[in-house]
Amino acid sequence: MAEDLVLDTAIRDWVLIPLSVVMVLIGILRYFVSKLMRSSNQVPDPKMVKEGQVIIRARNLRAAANYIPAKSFRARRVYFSNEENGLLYVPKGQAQNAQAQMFSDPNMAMDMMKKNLSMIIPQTLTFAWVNFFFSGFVAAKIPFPLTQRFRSMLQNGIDLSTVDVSYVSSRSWYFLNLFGLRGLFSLILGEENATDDTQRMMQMSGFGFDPTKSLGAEKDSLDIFQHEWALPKFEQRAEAVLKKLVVSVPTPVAETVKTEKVKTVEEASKEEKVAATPAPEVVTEEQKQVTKEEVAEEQVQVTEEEVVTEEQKQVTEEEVAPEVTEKQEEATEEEVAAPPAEKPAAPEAETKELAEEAVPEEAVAKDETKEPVEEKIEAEVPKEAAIEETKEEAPKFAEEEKPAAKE
Amino acid sequence: MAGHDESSVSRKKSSDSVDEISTFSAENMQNNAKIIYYSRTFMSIIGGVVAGILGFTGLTGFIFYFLVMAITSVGLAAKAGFSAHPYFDSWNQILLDGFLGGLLSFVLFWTFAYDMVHIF
Repeated sequence: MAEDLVLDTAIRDWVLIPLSVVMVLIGILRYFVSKLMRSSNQVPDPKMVKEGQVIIRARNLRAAANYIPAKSFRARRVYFSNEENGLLYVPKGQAQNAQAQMFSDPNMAMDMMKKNLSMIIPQTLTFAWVNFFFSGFVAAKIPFPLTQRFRSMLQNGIDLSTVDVSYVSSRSWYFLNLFGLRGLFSLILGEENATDDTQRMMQMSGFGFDPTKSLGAEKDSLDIFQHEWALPKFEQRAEAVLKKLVVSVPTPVAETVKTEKVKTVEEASKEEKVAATPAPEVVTEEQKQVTKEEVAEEQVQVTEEEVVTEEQKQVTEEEVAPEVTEKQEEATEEEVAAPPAEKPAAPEAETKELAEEAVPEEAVAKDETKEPVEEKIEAEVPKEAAIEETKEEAPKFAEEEKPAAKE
Repeated sequence: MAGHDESSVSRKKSSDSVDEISTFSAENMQNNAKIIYYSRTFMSIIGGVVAGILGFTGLTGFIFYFLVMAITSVGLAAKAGFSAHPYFDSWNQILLDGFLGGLLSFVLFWTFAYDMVHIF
């Protein structure tokens, strides 16, 4: 920085601050004006809305396609992209019509023009105002140095070539404000502020042709979508999550005393649970998966004979059922109230009864029930070892309950 | 509406899984992205004013900007409990998203404050 210009204080008072304030106010004004103008002509075209909703439906289908079986997905896809009466299928002739209609529709054209104007006019006016009033002097100093090439851009009114490029005219202050206040507007006006020109311009170009082209685009993307059913893997996933939760829960441990109580409480709760009403029918699928894994996990733990986790279960069981005749709902409520392990506790309450029911029944018929249920379920859990086999039986019983509950 | 609720990051329903099929709640993700954006904009404005008052010029100022952005990233990460997965798509979204978006606001307020204080 060669020389350090001393600039008049009046410039600050009468140029920088007023210019910024004016630009902020104009931005706010523009926001409100666009809001007002928009609300006056809010009669949505039913055809547009219909097409928009169809597109949304198709997108939802694509997004959630992995959670429905393959057949359902295919059925839905055919409904959308069927040649004759599929929703997304738009023959070429009609496509052209829609575009032409867009342009000749007076309301639409007026709307777009209004939006355009409300964008551009304030900018133009302000720019002209700045040029007229605030030209010919140095307005500000930008704190970082720039190369000489920027001189012509930044120092428009200043005709001295020896002045540092950092000293800029008010026009450049205007542009700096124009870009820098966008962030401020997004903070004070919320998301829906119409002051971001570049975004508006991008929106503008895409608006007219949206419906017909996007229908075709949706159809294509739906056609090429590969369906991959995610549900079979949910079991492992739930198991992993629950394992993490169970391991991370702090275990209040008092070993020897509990082991004796363990067995009595277990038997007592067995009787009680079997006598009590079965699992509530309105269990969501997620919880069913969770219970499956919880049951499977319990089987694994039982076979592996881990005392600690059993104690944990028994401890929670004890908390749940201090008395033999305690009801199901009270148990779950108590467990929900217990601070550390809410989540694993609640499904544990429901799985306990499934476990107790499954454990006595498991010994009865292992092989008989394997085959028919296997035919029922399409995508089966991968079979690996003996542990895996016990896992299978537990989910089967849960599955049997599910259709029973639904019917 | 000016209520940028910077203090609440919504948990999106995602799953940490073995097989990468994740379920996101789009609305929560949008909310989180908006929060990141607001935080960064706000911090860049404040950072600009601070840089101007302190008299940073040239490269120092830009370094200060990146410093402020880094502090914002750390703050966001701390708010999300240092685990990006339940809240965002990836770490990159917390750390790098909108990094340069606040640059212009920063420069504006930096210039403004610098001029006010030093060349008044």
